[in-house]
Amino acid sequence: MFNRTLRSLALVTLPAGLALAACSTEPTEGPAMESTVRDTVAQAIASAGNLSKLSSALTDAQLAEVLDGSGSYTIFAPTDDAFDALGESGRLLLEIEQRPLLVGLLREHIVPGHITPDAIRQALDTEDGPVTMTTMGGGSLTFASEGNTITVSRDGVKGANLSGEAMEAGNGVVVPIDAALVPEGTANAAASEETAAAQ
Amino acid sequence: MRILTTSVAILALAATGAIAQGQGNGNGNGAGQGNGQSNRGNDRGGPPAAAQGGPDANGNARRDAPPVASQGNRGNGNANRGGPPARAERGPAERGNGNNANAPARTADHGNIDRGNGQRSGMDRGAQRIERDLRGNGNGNANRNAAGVRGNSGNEARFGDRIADRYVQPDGRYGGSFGYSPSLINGCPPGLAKKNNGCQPPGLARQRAPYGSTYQPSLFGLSGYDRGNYFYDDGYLLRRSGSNIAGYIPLLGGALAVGNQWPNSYGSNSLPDYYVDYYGLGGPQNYRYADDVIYRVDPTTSAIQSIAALLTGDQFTVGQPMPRGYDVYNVPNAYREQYYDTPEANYRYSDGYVYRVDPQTQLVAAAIDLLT
Repeated sequence: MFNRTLRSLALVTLPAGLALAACSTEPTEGPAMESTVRDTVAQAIASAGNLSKLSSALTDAQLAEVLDGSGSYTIFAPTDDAFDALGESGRLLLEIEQRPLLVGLLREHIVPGHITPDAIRQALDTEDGPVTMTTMGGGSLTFASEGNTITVSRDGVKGANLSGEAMEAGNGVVVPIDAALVPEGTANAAASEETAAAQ
Repeated sequence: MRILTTSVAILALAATGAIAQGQGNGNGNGAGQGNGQSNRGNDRGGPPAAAQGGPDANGNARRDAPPVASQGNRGNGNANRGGPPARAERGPAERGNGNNANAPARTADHGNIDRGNGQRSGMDRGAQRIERDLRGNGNGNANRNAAGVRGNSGNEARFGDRIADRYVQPDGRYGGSFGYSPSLINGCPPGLAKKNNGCQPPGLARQRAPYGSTYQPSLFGLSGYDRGNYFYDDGYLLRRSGSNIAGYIPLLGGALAVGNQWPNSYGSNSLPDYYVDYYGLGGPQNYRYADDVIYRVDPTTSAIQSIAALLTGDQFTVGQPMPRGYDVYNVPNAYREQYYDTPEANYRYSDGYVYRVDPQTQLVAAAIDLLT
């Protein structure tokens, strides 16, 4: 009896849900979106081919469980090449004594909720200009469009472009970016260190 | 299109609610109340249904009212809901009359919050949502007669109400820091006190910072601390005062790394029940909360077991402007079919709640908890 009721209700619910989706104004997903809704954000990162260094960093930073949990997060994920580009600073970040700093850096790459590149584009269109999201580290990320490219900057300092295929997981989204979002002045500091070392 | 969408939404949610219940409930009556009352007082009994309430949303819905937009009707009424449980939606500042066969659709959409009854389970968790608007006026009565299902269960009604009451936060405020006030621990961290014989700052030569030598709390994801002369050592952020150390902050990933014991001297605030349940924390002995981070701890040893959640710490207050930094639609995956942006309402997620926001004024219209 109960099963029959369930089946009946399921038949009612399914077309209703489909019709609802068809009528909604929900942001549509672009073609460059891989859906892994059965996975978590952490699992999606771990399974990606070009995010292995981020995956290791999240594990080292002890944040992987956060991205496996019930909270919803979107992470703007520096690719392996982006980590390599950090050079000496990136290597230092992965030392255990610098772990709090690594945690702080990673938190600035994470925003609340489920954000797709398409939703960012839609917001950019609606606002007709840059849009901002708060981060889980107390800062903010600002998105802008440059032609067909979406750029993301940390606290107003241009940092990266969205690149590659975003992955939609059950508890959030992984959006690859081509550079790490380091704090203002870091690039200059790194350059100074290299200059000093060369002298 | 809107008419179809609304009707379908009602149908889909009604079916979902019925599935989750597996039984019916009926006849919930709430006393009509005057303005300024919380919606919570009304519509007790009845099957689980999602209800959305905007500010100053009065009146009740008659389910068979034709869907026609209307505003400006203010008053109390009764909702007679024949048929299966359904979802009631209310928009901001719309006050509709119930008991009006010609009640406009927007009125019909603006019924009282429905307190669902019955057992909660993983299956129905996504189906039952209550949008809380403490500014709203909950007036009128609601009679719900679920078709083809069993009658009331008083115990279940009380159970549902009790669960819901636990989640209500005062004054329409949601999120924030729950009374936690960022502050330094006075003195010297334990390790440094031993190493440096009198709590002297370590030499700057040890500061091999990837970001140069200027440490600030913001580099570590800390908000609310004063800027000052900080330096980092061995898992702590230390603040210098002259040649001495004025105080310190244990850092996530450092002194507050997994495996370390929670420092007795470090404050930890209790979280509202909603957050405990949303993040699956268990009980107050099983977690610590500080600086927008929730830690799972061993209840007997206070050892940190994992990082349970990062929070924004942003506070949303119904009737007040939304915090900055939520320009992009970000509702979690499981709720995107229900809560999506329209010209009348935007939805944004933060720290376990979905908030309805007026796109024009950017005022927070309501908070939607995702558990009840």
